[in-house]
Amino acid sequence: MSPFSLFIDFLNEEIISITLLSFQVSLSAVLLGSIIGIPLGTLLALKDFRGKELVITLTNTFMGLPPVVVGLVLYLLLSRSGLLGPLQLLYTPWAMILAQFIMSIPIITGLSYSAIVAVPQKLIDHAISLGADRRQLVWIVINESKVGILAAIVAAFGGAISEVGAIMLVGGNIRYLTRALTTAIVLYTSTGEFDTAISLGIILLSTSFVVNLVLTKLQSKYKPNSKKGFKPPRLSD
Amino acid sequence: MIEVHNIWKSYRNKSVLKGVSFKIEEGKIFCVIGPNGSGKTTILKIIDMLEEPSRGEILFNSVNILSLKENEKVAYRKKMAMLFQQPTLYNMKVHENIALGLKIRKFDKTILKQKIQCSLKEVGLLDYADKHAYTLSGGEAQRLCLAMALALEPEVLLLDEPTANLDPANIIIVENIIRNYAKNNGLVIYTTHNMFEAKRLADRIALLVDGSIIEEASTEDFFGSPRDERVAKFVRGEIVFG
Repeated sequence: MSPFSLFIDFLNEEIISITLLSFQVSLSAVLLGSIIGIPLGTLLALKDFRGKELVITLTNTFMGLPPVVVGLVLYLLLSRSGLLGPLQLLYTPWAMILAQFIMSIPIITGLSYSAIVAVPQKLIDHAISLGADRRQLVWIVINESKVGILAAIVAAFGGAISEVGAIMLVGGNIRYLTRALTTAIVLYTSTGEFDTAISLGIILLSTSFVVNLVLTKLQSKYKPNSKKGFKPPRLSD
Repeated sequence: MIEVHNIWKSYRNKSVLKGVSFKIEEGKIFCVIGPNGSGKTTILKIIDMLEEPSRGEILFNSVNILSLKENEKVAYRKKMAMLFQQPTLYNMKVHENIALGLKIRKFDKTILKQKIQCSLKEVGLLDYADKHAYTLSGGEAQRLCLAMALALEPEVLLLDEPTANLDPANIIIVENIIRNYAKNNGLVIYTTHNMFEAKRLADRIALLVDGSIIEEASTEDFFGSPRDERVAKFVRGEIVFG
């Protein structure tokens, strides 16, 4: 039997549902995280307010939020006696999305903030000189930092798809319902089914490679290489 | 008419401009000449309201634009266009860079394409319309910035050392464009540290050294019969400021 036919045999209904669930959960969480994180990062970069430095420091701290801590807090909130217990989200894909969404917000906010503050002051001055109002200026700045913002989304997706601690706690790793690629790998490893665990690992790596390839292609499209003498303005200019 | 009245500017207790005054009428090219760090760029930024002076007035057709509210400042800013010393282009195609300014200033959408083509033709970049701005050479990028400014049909053109990084062929192109613009009743305020360029282009010249104007005169008088001894030596090439 060839390795390919072995792989096809391996791709049964359960494995496909595990893979699809992983991507549905992570992509949904990152999409929702982007909707919140990109405007927050923009606000942090462009608006001056009291306590801004503290908010930036907190955002940077939460970028390294331990998944099991998020999972634990969310578990307590979603459990029957918890504040969000009546929503009955515990051990559902929604709880998994919520956990990854919470973890993606600081990553997208922090990296979007870094991308936007890196836009050279000269380009901002030029936009103001052209007569841009506040709304137009925000649009121009976001457009200039789209490569960095895309990098923020790529990083958040990478963190989400490979995350295990939080979704294990709030999802429960229930077969055909909340079992994702990472939680399945943990399960099969603990039961000694190393072949299955390794195969799932390969699926996880190769599919996330494809998603990142698409995002990287988009980045290259937005940032063509300067082949001649002109170099776009840098922060230090 | 632009009148600059007694402009002072300090950064961290260091005076960059010390009571600068001059005025310039439509159809004229006014050149501020001076060494690097003399305050030339700061004057242009203050006229364009990108920086606030410590004190002084800028009169635009007798209106002190520095005392206006922000939305009124934007309205006056839209009568001007500034070319920065280093090309400032956005991460988009050549024609999109020109369209950006036109859209911000709410030009009629039906004439956008025509205006973009006209301005690109004027600077010799018509064939580059669909290229990405970051693939242009330094000279092409500076000419594109000039096209961005010209497309806006400003009443006042502020040019910060527009030829500083250009080769001789590009310098001739840019100088001709500036002359044509002034001929059509445009008002140009231009900075340079190149004495010969100032002599070729300007109607009036001011020599700025350490934030103060040492002498301001017509180009003919500035080079023919300077009043200040330092200007005379500068013109004869006996003093190199900076």
